[in-house]
Amino acid sequence: MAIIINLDVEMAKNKMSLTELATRVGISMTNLSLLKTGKVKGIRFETLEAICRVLNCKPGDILDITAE
Amino acid sequence: MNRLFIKILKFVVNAAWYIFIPLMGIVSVVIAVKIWQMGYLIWDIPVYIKQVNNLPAIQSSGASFQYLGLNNAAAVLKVKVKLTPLLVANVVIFFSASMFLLFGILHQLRKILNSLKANTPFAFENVRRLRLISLFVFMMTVLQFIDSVRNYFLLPPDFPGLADVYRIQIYWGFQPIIISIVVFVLSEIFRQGYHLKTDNESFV
Repeated sequence: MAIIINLDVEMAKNKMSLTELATRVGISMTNLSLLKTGKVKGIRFETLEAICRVLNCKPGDILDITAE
Repeated sequence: MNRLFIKILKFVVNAAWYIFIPLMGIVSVVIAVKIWQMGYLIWDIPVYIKQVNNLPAIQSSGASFQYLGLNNAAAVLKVKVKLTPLLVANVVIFFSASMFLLFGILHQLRKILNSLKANTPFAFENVRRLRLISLFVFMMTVLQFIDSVRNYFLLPPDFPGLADVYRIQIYWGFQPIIISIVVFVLSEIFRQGYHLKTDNESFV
């Protein structure tokens, strides 16, 4: 996939675990883990917004694109 | 209201499954033994009566009505047939095939109703089940069509005067074919529903 997820980088910057982020965002650990590993087809705006608010970042910090 | 209807339907299908199958087994065995002991079979053949004469005249009480006659009346010929190995094989094959298809439909319907209860209706298995039901309904129609065509061609040579009075019904099964098509279209809708659901679930 050309879109890459840099969630682990932002989590490391904020020193936040997957469990804590899942609880604060309000999604399941399974779904967050799938998102982190890029195994999902897409992300809803509300989920992205919640993650950005918790991690104090912008969507562009989490999502990036690579040339295929 | 819909939930109540589904519950009632589930109850009816389950009752048919648990009562109908053993009952049909017992009845089949009893009938088979009886036929075997009698040595003949009463064969029902749906026919149309071409012309009915000598019927009592009916007077109409209204001025706008007038009795003209009876034509192409549906009837059932009851033919006493001596048991032969070919006839036994014929009966066994047609009966088994019909029962297989009927129980197949019931079985698939039960599974679909169970998936409704488990709140997982848009599963790929249900697409397959609906397609099977559609196929089974269609095959039942084909089976009945073959049965009627066989009667149509096999009976007249043994009954020389039959064609003058009766016309043997050919079963076209228009309604079951429509039902089969509708169920097939439903299965396609379910397939698209399944893809939508899968797509939706892959979003976080």
